[in-house]
This record gives sequence, structure tokens and C-alpha cells, in this order.
Amino acid sequence: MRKTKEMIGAAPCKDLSAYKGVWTLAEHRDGILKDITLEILTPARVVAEKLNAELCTLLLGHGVERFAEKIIRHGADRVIVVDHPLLANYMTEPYTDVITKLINERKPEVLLIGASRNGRDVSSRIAVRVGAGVSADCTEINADKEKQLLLASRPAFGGRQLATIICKAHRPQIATTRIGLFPIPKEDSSRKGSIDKVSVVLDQSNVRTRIIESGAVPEIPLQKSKIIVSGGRGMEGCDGFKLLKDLAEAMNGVVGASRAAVDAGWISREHQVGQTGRAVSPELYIACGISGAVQHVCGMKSSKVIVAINNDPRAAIFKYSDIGIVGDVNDVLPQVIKAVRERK
Amino acid sequence: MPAAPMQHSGLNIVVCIKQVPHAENLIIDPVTKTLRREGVKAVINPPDENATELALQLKDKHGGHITVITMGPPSAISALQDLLAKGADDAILLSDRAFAGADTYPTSLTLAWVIAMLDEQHKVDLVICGEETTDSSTAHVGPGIAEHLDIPQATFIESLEVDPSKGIARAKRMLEGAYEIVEFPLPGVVTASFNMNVPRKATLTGKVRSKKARVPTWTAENLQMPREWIGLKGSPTSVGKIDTQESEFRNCDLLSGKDLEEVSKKLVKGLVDKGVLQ
Repeated sequence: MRKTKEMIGAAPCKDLSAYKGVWTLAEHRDGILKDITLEILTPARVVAEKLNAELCTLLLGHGVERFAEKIIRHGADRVIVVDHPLLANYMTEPYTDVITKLINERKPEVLLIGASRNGRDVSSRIAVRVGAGVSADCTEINADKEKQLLLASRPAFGGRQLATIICKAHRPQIATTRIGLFPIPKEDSSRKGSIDKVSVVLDQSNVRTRIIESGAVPEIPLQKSKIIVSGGRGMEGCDGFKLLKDLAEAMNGVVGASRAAVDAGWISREHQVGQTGRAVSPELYIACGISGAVQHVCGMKSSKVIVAINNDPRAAIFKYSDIGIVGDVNDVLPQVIKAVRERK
Repeated sequence: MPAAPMQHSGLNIVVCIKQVPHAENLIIDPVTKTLRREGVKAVINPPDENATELALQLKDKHGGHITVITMGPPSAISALQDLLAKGADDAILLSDRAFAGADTYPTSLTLAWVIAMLDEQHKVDLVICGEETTDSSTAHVGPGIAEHLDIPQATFIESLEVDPSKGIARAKRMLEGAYEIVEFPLPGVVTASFNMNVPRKATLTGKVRSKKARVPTWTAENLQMPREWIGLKGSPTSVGKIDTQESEFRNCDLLSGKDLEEVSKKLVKGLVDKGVLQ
């Protein structure tokens, strides 16, 4: 340990009046700007308006300055560009070092970061280093104008309740926001903003966790697909999932799954919808052999149209559905596939 | 406070776990429209099972010592006993009303404090947490511990190899649409992905041993941490309000009929009419 217990402690309270401005963090990988960078400008703008503050995006990277204009066209007032070879791709330590340095110098009152895996990796480290609180994976972001407080809301267990988290005595108020949830603000080609280029001194000693190798992993476009055909325990095996694949293909959709099906090894984890998987809100969600446990439902209940196929008429999933068929999925699905193929 | 542990060779690993309600069994009661809690048992947070299995595999390979710690109510002792039965060497329960209401800042601070105490007795090489808990889903405690102790981290890992002689660890991180192999010097913190391995079952001798094992409970007084650092008092964030959301129940149009072909056609027509299927 670099620190003994004599060297660690609680977050100190601060002079809150010194903190001003709403910040977001840009995310990119291999030269491609991640959607969350622009999505997060939507809740950040709401907060900036309420707090009468400037909206500023931190853009750390190497050769990424070209993204700054785009971020401004989508709603930022200012972009702080920090260019350094060691910032080319996200690494915990140089990103934490640079962001905390900027926070200590410029004192923003709010910092919003996408709740991606790297966003969560860095937000907790920043919060502890600057002595601030952080609310994770928020689905609603607002602000209290009078109290000058960020209102960061997230579903409490089961998704039945929405807990609004506040941070009274520490700054900045940090929150991570769910990816794929907020709409990207419309691009306005006439929008102007400021670009600050900040130089930093970093060397390998700032990096303990180094990237040795990286690569792409085919991503199941669960969050982008308009139609998801999902299977659960009632699919009874890999053969059942072949039916789902056929139906998904016939509908130009993708295959999803409940945790029970993933745990059973019938399909890989990338397909999982729910609390420990992805939250989705497609136009059409077809739940096959899924009972409707809270942990699954909270990840799909905002779909526009939900269809349930289950042999148990009392299954909770029917309560969340617009259309239901009571029957064995292995009997029903071949007929549905046929009807979909013959629909024209 | 227990006596200093025996000196041991190999890796000295601390695993941080949490007991959570069993999410798979949670159902919204259709009548009362509230979370049905009765009969929902407490389980070890699923990724923490993977974290413990990772520790056991490292111990199988390199030798060493595994201490499992958790902060929670006195009943959380059963979670620690389960992991002792699987092969963990020691367990410590951090339990005190003063710890209650902690957000991720004092939670990671308290765990870091305990890890620092263990480190004073015997150098800790590796801290393993689950990637996130199913009841809070923050994924912030692992990185929080790493920052409090100023040591490197690798989060959301799918595999981990350790070279104890060189004091280096190499992990595969899984990100959205990408993977990374990262390397860091020990000591460090890793967070284990859910399903990264298959947690072993406890052996009969393990179960017998765990029943006999004395699991110490450390209170705030044992830790000698300032009261204002822990629990609700030490939390920068607080819950401002809780809104119960509109019922998400819908009026389900149940398509019935013996002829599945007919029912399926009705379904497809319904979807086309609703404009969700072209």
C-alpha cells in the first residue's frame, strides 16, 4: 500500500461558493467519439440552465481536438482539450490525475460522467481523490435552483422507486448517467463556443495499470435494436434459442435473454437484459419463457410494446405486457415465425 | 482484535463481499404493487462469488492466504461462513450501527482502513471485489478502496494472472465492445466480472471446518476510526427523496384459441397495426 491508515480519511467539507460550472467528460475509443459524450449534454444542459452556469466538456486524448467543434455544435459552451500521448486511450491513473488537477484548479460545481465501465472506473477514483460524493448510473438528472444542488436520480432496488441523491457539503457534485438513455441534442452548425487547450506533464510514472493489448469484441446491438426477442428459463435449452434466433432474423431484430438463460449456459452474457445485464427500450420486446422477475423487468419495462409468451397464465410477465399468448414456447414460436415470414 | 495471523508464503489476498437480497426471486406483488420481500433470502452478491473463486484459484496455483471481509448486519456472518467452507482461510465481519447508511465513500474508506490494518500485520498483495452489487449497482467500492490506499486497479476483469516473484498482475478487462489486457504492479485491486468463473461448491470437510471457525466481529471501536468518517455521517451523498414510480403494469390482451397458427397470425397483425413490425 502506498498509504497507511494514518494517511487516509474522510472527505473534507469545502467552501461551496468557490465552485461554479457544469462539466461533462468526453469518452472515445480508437479515434471514435462515443455516443455518450453527446448524450450526456442533454441532462447537463438542463442542470446548466437551472444553475445559470456554463456547460463545459473535458476532452482528454491524443489527436482528438477535432471532436471539440462537434461537441460544441451539440451543446457545450466550452471544451477543455488536454492532448497527451498517454491520454490516447482511457487509463485509470493519467485520467484521474488530469481530471482531479483540473477540478482543483477550476472548481466546477457539477461533473457528469457516462456510466460506462470506464466512466465508473474513473468516477469513483476522482470522487475519493477530491473528497466528493458520486451517484452512480442515474436515469434522471435535474437541479434545484434555489439550493444550487444537483438532483441525481436512480432506480432503487427493483426499479419501483426512484431515489434522488443529493450532495450538500462537498464539491463537485459527481454523477454518472446511464448510457443509451438520454437523446443526443440536435446538432446546430451555427453554435459557437470556446476551446481551451491545456497542456499537462505526464510520464510513465503516472501509469501503474498499463494497457498491453486491446481489441474489439463484437457487440450485440441490444440497445440500438428496435426489436428484441428474448428467452428465459422456459426456453429449456439451446434448441429453444435457435427458435428465437430464427424469429429475430425474420423480424430483423436481435436475441436477448434473462439471467436464468445466461446462467444455464444457453446463450452468452452479452445478450442479457436486466439489472445485471443491459437496460433496453426497443419498439418491440418479445419475452419468451420469461417469468417476469424484477431483475429482468427493470431492464425492459420501458419498451414501447411488450409481448409475452409463457405456458404459465399466472406468470408475472403478463402483467407487464400488451399482448400475451399462453402456451409452450416450443409449440408457439414455430407458428409465430411462420406468421412473421408470411406477413406480406 | 485477533492476534497477528501466521506468516505465510504465496499471495496474501483480501476479498470484499456483500450480502444482498436474492434478486431472481423478487417479484412485484400484482395486488399490492409493492416489492414482495417475504421469503426472499439473503445471498452473497453473485459477482462476489466469482471474486472469491478467483482468490481460491490463485491460492490453488501460488499458495497463500485468503481473508474475506464484509460490512453488514450480524446475520451477514452466514455469508462469511459459506466462503470459509469453500476454502477461505479467515473472515472478518465489520458490524456496527455506526457503519449503517454509508454511501460508497465511507464504505470504501472503512474497507480500505481494515485492509491497511491487515497490511500492517502481513503485507496484502491483492484485493478482490465483485464488479458491482445487485442491490446498489454502483461498481464504485473497488476503485474507491484502490484510491484510498493509492494502489493500482483493474476493473471488470474476466481473467487474472499473477506472477508473485515479479510482483506483477495481468488482467483482461471487458468493456463495451472492446477488451483490454492490462498489467499492474502489486499490490492492487481488481473487480471480478459476474460469471468470469464457476464458483466451486463447499466440501463436506470445509463445511465442518467453517462451523467450528470463529468469525470475529469488528466494531467501529475496534477499528478506532473517527465516528464522523463512517456510516451516514461520513457520506457525502444522501437520499433527498424517494418517489414511487407509476405502476408499470399494462393491460394485457391475451390471445387465446386452440389453433396456434391462428393465434400467431393475430399476434403478427396486432404488431403490424401497432406499427412496431413492418
